[in-house]
Amino acid sequence: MNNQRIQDYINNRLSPAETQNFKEEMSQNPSLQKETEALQAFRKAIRSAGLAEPVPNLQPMLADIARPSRTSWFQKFAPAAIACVAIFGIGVAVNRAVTDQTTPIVASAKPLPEAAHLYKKSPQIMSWQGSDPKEAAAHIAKKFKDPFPTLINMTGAEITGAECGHCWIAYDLKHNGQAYTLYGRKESGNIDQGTPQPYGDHLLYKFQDGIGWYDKGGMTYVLVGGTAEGRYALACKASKCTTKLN
Amino acid sequence: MSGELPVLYRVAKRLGCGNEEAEDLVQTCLIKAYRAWDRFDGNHLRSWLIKILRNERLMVLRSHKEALSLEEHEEIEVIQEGFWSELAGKLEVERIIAAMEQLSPAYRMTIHLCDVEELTYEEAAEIMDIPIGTVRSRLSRARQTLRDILLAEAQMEAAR
Repeated sequence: MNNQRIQDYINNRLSPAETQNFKEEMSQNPSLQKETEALQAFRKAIRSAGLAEPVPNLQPMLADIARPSRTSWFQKFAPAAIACVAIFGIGVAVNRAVTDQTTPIVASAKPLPEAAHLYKKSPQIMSWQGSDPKEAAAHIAKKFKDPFPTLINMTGAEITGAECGHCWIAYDLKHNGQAYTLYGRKESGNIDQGTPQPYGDHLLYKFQDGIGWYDKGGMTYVLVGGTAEGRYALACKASKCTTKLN
Repeated sequence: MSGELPVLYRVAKRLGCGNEEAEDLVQTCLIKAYRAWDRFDGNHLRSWLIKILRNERLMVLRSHKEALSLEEHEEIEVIQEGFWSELAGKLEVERIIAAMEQLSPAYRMTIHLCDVEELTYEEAAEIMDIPIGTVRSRLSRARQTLRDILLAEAQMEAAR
């Protein structure tokens, strides 16, 4: 008994003429008919078993993934931001000339890490002179009309201000002896170039030298420095904090 | 697309994922599909999604050096009378699922695509990047192997 032929019949892979021949053969050969029916029953049982397995509700995934992309902050607020930043930049320059202040939270001096360059688009500069991250966060939040995280007491990390490029907020963190910098920017869409990795109810995007995520208000964060494992562990903690902000 | 989610989840499970891993894989697949939507030709959505899902899984398996390779056999096989009918009465759902887990990944995937999801040979071949003839022989082998596993277990149970 040719097994492949029975299987081809079951799978509807025989031509009409071959199918007709097979049926005629079955009518004259009860054991062939019995075997064919048994394989049909087997196939039906396989399908029933496969479909019987419980499947969780996956619909929320679609809603998350297919949500419309958010409008860029720069498209919404560019004119006001440019005016605000220009005035503020002049103030900072004057202030710097007059007095030697403590570490700036945001400035435009240090080259950005490679991962951060992916998102660097706009020439606006947002600056703040001071040593208190909470105060800086409040100031920037006022200017950007959106909450910024201070992350103090959130990750167990020691946090100070950091230098960074245009339109970014940045913090230096020391965690488990490793130095990291967390960059944030009011923009969405660009870190999608990284490799997504689900964590909790959001995604982390891995890069060669950094890891990024979005918060619910359209902020993009990128963490660089330390080790890949350390970055991931810290990003898990920090992203939990930032996703709660909005 | 929502109708494809259970299919993707089941295929992920057949690709060796645990429950959470299967959900993660489906999510990654959807993200990739969403980004690649412009490249989708509008035909055979299910096959397209399953192919993305399978490729994602293969990337993970390759990183763990687990391959889905399998030697193919094309010879014509002759079976004895009663080969398939011996299975009668031994086809409980749990037994079949457990037996499917014992199949090699390539057999498991083939039998799932063709028998559970009822995809055509052409669609299964496209998803697995293999010739149609290979789907045909692999499906035949997979069913026979599954049948052998089920019978062997039934015999062991009877002997107890």
